[in-house]
Amino acid sequence: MYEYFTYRKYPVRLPPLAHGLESTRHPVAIAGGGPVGLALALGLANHGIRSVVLEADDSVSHGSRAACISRRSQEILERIGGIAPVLAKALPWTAGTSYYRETPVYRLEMPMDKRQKYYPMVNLEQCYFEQDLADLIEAKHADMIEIRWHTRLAGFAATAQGVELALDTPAGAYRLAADWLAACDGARSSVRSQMGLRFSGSQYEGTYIIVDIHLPSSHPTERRAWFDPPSNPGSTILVHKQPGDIWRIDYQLRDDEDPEEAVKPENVLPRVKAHLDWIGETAPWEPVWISSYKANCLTLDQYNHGRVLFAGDAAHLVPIFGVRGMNSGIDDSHNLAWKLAHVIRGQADPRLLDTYSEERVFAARENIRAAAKSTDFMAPPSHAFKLMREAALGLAVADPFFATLVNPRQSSAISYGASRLALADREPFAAGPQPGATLAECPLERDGLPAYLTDLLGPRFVLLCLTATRPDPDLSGLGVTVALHWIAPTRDARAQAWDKSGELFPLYDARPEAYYLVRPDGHVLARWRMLDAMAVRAAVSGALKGP
Amino acid sequence: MLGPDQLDHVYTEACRRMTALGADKTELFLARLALLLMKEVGDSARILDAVDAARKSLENG
Repeated sequence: MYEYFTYRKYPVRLPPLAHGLESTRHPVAIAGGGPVGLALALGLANHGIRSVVLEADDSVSHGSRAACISRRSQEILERIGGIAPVLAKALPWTAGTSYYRETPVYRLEMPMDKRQKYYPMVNLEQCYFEQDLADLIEAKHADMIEIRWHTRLAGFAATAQGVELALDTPAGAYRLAADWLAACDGARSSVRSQMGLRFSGSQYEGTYIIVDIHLPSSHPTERRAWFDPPSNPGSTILVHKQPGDIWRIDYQLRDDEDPEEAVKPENVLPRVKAHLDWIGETAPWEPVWISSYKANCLTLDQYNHGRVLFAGDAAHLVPIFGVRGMNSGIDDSHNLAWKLAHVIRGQADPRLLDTYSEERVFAARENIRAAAKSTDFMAPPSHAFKLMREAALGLAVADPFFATLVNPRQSSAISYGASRLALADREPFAAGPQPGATLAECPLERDGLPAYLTDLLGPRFVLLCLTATRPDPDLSGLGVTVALHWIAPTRDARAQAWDKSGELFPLYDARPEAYYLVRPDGHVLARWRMLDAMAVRAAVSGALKGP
Repeated sequence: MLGPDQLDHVYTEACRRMTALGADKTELFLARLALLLMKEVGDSARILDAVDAARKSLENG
């Protein structure tokens, strides 16, 4: 098959050993060097915490796999220093079209206005994305992060103080001690199975074939879905464009097809050809990757188990429709990084990690709920779902009322409104991100230059002061830094930034003033109409030390 | 509310038109009719009550 990516092979490296045990103890060991493990390592480094990443393969993972990076993931990538190489290659998109037979029945338009810094979605093959993160670690964080390629986790023992891992490499086996183990080792997590932890939830029966092809085409980047197309009657076909003239094609198998037979190129390629011919793609093409897929709605009930923490596919499996798989894993890593860092530095009670589990299990269930609705439509799990879908699609041709049923419900940021790290408003707000939500993006002027609100975030608590009067709260002696950013409604040389567009203050219901306390992961912890240093101090110390 | 004569009329008309379409289209016809009536009713509680009533009527015999 056509190879569009050159896999860099990394050598295996053994650390200095004493009686088969690595001489140095690590603060954090991360099982799995996929996108979630690498993002977690970068997130921890951002907070000054070292980690060692243990990756069973000798290269980044094969194939295009997760191909779509959400706006929230792009924001997180910026925070951990990894956005530039991704955006240099990725294809941005905002829209899509769904067809029933030949007729367009639904137009997807994702939120994109002039306030946004990032596109709602960008497409990039997972191998490029992983390589970008690995390159970033090598170039800028070699002192904080060590990736050990070709190093497989064979077993481990956990105690209340840490973990001891047994590792296998082609150069020999050794043991490694760490204070914490982050299991980012994917859907077939060996950490999860060794701990005897079971997913709960449901699985869909239907099988999807995922094919990536190399096809030169000028068609713009969008999401296209066909239900019952003349090229493949009875089937559902999804087409996405990726960089480098790579196209992602997904289709569902009929119930009477054998998945093992159906994934063979001789059975895949004629169906792809029929569809390409029908949509008028005439350039020569060839396959680059073929895989089969079943939708799962599964999660662990808890992601923190003493010194072992689960993230990404190791913790939950979400159907692909709506692109919540890798994106939710990156969100996990961002939620976990600051909490684990604060616990390791002794700035937070270890129970802060309970909120990681509570918030991200909640997020997984929200993601599963939304993705299951998409899956029910894309891959009807029963005769009734199939019948009603056909009925809805037929009506949607003439009546947009029914077209909303076709909405693929793309991934969007999740709000932790019920978390103990989201303090209820004391005064009513008519607008603005509620406690638990991520910031709504807005342009502003900072130090005389155009900037965005989220540019003010960093690996620390941030107090955004939207006010005309100089804020001067005493936030010393908290044990952690709270960065104070003063944003004035009009140009003011004393403030860090001002609301040049005039949109920020109304968007945040900040007239005459408002104060938003933002967690290190960019979610709002609390907000007030008046500046009250005592309330800010209580919110930060309550978050870290527990109720 | 429909009176007995009106109910008789719409019932008969629905049956006639389904018959004209042919037995192989009956199921899809009823599914589309259900969706169109959901739109007309416009009240999720009333729709779910009707859905439940239909289910119970089949469970009980």
